[in-house]
Amino acid sequence: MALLQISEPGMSTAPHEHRLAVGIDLGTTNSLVASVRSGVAEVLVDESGTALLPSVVHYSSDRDPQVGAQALEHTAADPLNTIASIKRVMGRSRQEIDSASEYVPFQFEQDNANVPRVKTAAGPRTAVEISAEILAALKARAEQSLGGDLVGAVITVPAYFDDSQRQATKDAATLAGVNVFRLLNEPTAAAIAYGLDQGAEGVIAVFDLGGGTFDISILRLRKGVFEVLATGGDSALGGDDFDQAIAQWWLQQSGLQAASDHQLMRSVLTAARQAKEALTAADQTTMQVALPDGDSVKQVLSREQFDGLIKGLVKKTTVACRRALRDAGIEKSDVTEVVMVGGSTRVPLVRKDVETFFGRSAHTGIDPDQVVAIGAAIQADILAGNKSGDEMLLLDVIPLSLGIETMGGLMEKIIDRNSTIPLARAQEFTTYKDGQSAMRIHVLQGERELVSDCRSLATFDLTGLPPLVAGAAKIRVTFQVDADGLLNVGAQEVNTGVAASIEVKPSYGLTDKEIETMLQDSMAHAKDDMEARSLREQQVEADRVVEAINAALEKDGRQLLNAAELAQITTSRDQLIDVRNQAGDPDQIKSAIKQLETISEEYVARRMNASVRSMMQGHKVEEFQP
Amino acid sequence: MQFDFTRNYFELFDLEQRYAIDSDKLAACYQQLQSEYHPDRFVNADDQDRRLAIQVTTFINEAHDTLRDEQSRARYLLQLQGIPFDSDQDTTQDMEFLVAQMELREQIDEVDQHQEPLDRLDELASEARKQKNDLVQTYQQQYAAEDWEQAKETVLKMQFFARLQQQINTKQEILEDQLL
Repeated sequence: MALLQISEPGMSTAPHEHRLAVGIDLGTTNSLVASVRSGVAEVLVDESGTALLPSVVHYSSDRDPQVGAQALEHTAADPLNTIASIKRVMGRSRQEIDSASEYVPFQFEQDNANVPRVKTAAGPRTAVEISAEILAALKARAEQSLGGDLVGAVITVPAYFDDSQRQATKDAATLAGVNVFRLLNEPTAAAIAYGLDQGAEGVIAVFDLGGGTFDISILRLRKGVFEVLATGGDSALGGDDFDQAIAQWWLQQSGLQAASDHQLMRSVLTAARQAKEALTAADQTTMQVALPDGDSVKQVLSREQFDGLIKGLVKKTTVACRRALRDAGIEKSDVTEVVMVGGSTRVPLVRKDVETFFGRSAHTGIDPDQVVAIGAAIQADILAGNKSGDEMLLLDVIPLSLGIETMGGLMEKIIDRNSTIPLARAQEFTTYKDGQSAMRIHVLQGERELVSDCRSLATFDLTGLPPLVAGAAKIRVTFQVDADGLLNVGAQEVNTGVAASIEVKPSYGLTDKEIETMLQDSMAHAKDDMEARSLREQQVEADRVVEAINAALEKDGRQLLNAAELAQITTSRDQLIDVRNQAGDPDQIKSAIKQLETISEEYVARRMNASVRSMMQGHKVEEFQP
Repeated sequence: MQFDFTRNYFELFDLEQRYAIDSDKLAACYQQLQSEYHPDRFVNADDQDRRLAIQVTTFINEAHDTLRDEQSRARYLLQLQGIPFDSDQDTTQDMEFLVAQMELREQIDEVDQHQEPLDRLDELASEARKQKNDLVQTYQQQYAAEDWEQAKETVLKMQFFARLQQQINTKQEILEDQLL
């Protein structure tokens, strides 16, 4: 609109071309979004100034799902529709979830679907769909806060996530309409945040204990290149397990059974989490849990007792540290920095044991809850092309070995864990029957010898092989791992050059077709979203126009307009304000804006003349001639 | 993007084509090449350059892994001399060596019966390392003397130690997990 375009000669109002990119930490308990603004990486907050978005989604039969703090409020009253800690089941099968001893705070549909679906009031939902709600909320926050569309995002995953867990995360982003530049390992993101902050050189150990996952990464930082030497951990170990340990203890102490009572179990877990957090500073705390019958039970828990409960879990983390050092081929004494990441590293026993293990004190300068998102934002800024890109480079590794099933149910490794990505390996297979034209290959991920101890990723059916005598056909299968750590497979018959076609059947993940169906389902939503968005845009535009006209009127309204003209403009302005606040239809706002603009046209013209006059005041006309 | 895929791995990292290498120089040169060709440097490039960046860095990683490891470097040097390797058929015929290998493997399987299995495993690992270092010395002399046939025999023996090391690592991890 013309009113705003009166600017000082030679000054441009066009903003510097900056591609909006964010880093997203999609956590088990909390999620965050961060971005680089004016060269500084910072987390983006919501309207109330809060950075952490609880990774909780509440489903109801009569409205859209709620995400975050709003959803969290339903925990006590409606526990089964309030889905928390969904990250723990990302890319997991029903069987794996059931065999884990931990309590999962939601129920699954009793069906044989390939991908387990959580029962909700709004119908069955996969972990991918639930995570997509969280990602969509973060995307909306970012676009509101940055004032534009996102070009892309870097989403962090635990370094120890296997291929199906990574793929599930990427699928969730697709569903949420987030373009993924890169899946980045969480500890690597933390190292970026620290490394760039402190200009460090040397070997960094990043110890990352979050709500549900544990990672240890060993990196070498030299001249701006972060080279991940080794990574390890446990994708099902975190602060949630500490809560579980306290909750089990509480149940034992109070002689209650809660396994079947979701409401009580939730209350006990909430009290357990509060007790854990209190014990970071205090030596003892009182746990109070309200029972469904109205009574409440108190138990005093001391730091010492708590340490005893979690000792075994913490021990697991130091064993993983030892393993990672061994894989990296370095000694403890080579480590120059230890960085602590993740909320659970606030637990005193964790900090003490890790510092004892490495024999040095750990860095905790950046908020352990935010450091991962900040590192991801820095990487996103570079990948968006906002920097020249020379200052930093990441060389990451694949966390778990990849292999295939061979005779006798054994796993043959084709790609060793901790190999730098991207990478490719080829392996030749041969036929065992005359005229055999198809072959099935079972791809696995893991470290153990037996197929049953590894994780099944997918089966590939190679078809269209040239019919030859047994053993004559040689099929070269190429395994390519891209920079996100995701696997792609290709196959070719060596002698004839015939490319075998491959059909991928992910063992646990969603097929491309399923994702497509979900996307179509969400298209209906997308239409609502688009309307909501265009309404928001018109509201912002209306606010801008009102603000501009107010500023103009205050400056020179009385000089340039007579009383009738002034009244006409202010009436039209007030109409626009009313429409903006009441109308749910973007088109109505749009026409009110148009009306105000038309009525103000004469005023705008007079302002321009006045502005030209004032510019020329005290100057001769010739000065302005070329 | 310009990249010459016909160079051998030694030429790629600007190293002399021999068994003993300057590992600091290898590491520095590797990082320098990655800085130049990594896919992250080409996020805004066209499709072809982006694909090429993946291929080039895959090649660089493969080269780096090959030269960094004592056994695969030994094997690669012979391949550059035109000595063929066929993983299905090649194996050493040295019975004495094979018997010694079998004994080592049995001892690894039996560490559970020891009072301190992890300590016992450390002993065996260090014994295996010593034997492998002897092979490395032998190879170096054979390669220098251009005795390709004998050098190949030594490489095939080294491969046993790679598998042995894997067996030791797996055992170590199982034992560690049991301690938890």
